Amino acid sequence: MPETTSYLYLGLVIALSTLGIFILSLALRLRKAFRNTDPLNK
Amino acid sequence: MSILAILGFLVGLYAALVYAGTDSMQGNVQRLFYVHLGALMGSALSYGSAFVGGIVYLRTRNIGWDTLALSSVEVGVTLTIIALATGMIWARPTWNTWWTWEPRLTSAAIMALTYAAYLMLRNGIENPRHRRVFASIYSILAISTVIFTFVITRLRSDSIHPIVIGSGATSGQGTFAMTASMQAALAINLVVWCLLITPVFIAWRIRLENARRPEKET
Repeated sequence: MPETTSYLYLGLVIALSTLGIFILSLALRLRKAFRNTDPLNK
Repeated sequence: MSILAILGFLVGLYAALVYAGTDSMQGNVQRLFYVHLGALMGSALSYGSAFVGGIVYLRTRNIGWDTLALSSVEVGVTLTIIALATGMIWARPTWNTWWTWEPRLTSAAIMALTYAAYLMLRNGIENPRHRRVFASIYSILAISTVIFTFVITRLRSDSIHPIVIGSGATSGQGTFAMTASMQAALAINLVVWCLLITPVFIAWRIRLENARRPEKET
């Protein structure tokens, strides 16, 4: 059996990072949107 | 639902990394397949929902459907990036190259770029009504790239992309036969990516668009 575990780790890191970046960007944009609609902030 | 998606994601990872047997020909890198196919099916589902959103928006002119289409495309592009990246990393030890211009890879790249262009072109139109109509028509036409990506390995016999489910071109390099534990891990991951992660992402993205709208337009 070939030793390909390092590629598995690389793939997982990239897949999880992409998911993480999407979730983070969504969370930051949501925070900004809710702040902007908050009447106390106007 | 979000908590369920997180739990499902963890269960899916466990099934892929621990529960499923290791492939005797490819080693551990084969485990990326569960994430690869899960993300790809999730993206196809997103593009399908953008297609439906586009059609219904054009019929009803209800902004909610356009929001669904926009949110779906954004989620779909993210999932396509994951599918392409994991595919490339799997290809390196299996095909001895990160990328090759074979039919399936080329059509998947066209699909990813078509939907990335949706997001860019959409923002280039000032008039909100024109923007929504343009985006709806675009999302209806763009579904052809998704269908094309799915059927290409069955149409072109020279494709080296493996077909694990069903039959197709026999020239696949790196094809593997799935054992019961591999099938179970694949089923779990498909359910998690398609029925939990993708809908939850789209729902949160819709929530963002709805929160933004009062300040932007009506």
